Amino acid sequence: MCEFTVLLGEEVVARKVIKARIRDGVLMLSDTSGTKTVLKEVSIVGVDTIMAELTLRRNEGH
Amino acid sequence: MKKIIATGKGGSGKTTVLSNLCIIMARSGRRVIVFDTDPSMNLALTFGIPYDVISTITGDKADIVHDLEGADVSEIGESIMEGHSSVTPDGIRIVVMGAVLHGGEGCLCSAVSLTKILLGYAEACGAYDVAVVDSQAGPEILGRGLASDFDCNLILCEPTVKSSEVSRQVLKLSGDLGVKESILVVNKIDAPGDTGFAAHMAGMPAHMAVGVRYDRNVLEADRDGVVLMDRHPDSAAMGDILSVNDRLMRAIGW
Repeated sequence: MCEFTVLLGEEVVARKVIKARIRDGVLMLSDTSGTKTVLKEVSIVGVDTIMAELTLRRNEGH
Repeated sequence: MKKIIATGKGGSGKTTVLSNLCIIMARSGRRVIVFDTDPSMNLALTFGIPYDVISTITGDKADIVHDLEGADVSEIGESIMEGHSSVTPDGIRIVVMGAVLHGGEGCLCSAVSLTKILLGYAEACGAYDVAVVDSQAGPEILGRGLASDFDCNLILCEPTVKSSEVSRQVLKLSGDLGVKESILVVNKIDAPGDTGFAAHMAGMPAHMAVGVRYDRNVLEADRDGVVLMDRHPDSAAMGDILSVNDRLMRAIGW
């Protein structure tokens, strides 16, 4: 299923995410309930369509 | 808002039975919205609405996702819904998810996800008494989680081993998703033991099953492009579908 669970390290920060966009250094995640989750100072380090997981990392110094 | 899904093996009669149930509900004063998530998208045609008059979710998904990125679904849900649906003379709003448009284009996950958003909007906006989902064939739609916490799963089944096996899988996945009630509708029966056989093979108690008799009138209505209830309201199959409706109404507490 192409709805992603989003992990920041070991922590699940969002589920059923269908869109992720980084704009001006801010990551916005949109899920199937219409909820938007905003995360600052993070980078996407992994996209796994098999496991439907998006892995994030906190930027250094934050 | 009550939420109902119809599932089952391909050709088991999901669209035929569901379209008549929707009309029964609409004509009894219920505000009905239907989501056709079957890539074969026969539901609108069953209501007499040609394919080309409804813009599908699949066809416009890039625009819809773009719009949703810039606004809350509560603000633009109505315009998305109205732009991608049609309303029957009975007042039933039909939203069509759509099919894969081009070979190699990819899967339908994104369209199902957008359908979930619109389903959530339909519930939140308060404009409907019941949302009905006509699903694609097989159990996969339940793996996508679309029917989480639905009120009822109408499992359509023919009285065959293969069809019953799909019903068994569907019943299990429904339980995983917290669907409150399941009804086995054994379609196209023509012998007294057919309903009980299908229920037994699907692993369901006989009291959860309702039979719909094989009836040539169903074929005639299909060929004429009208629903059975309007073409042959006194047919054997329609009488059985009314019994399905009675069972459904009890299951959802109406």
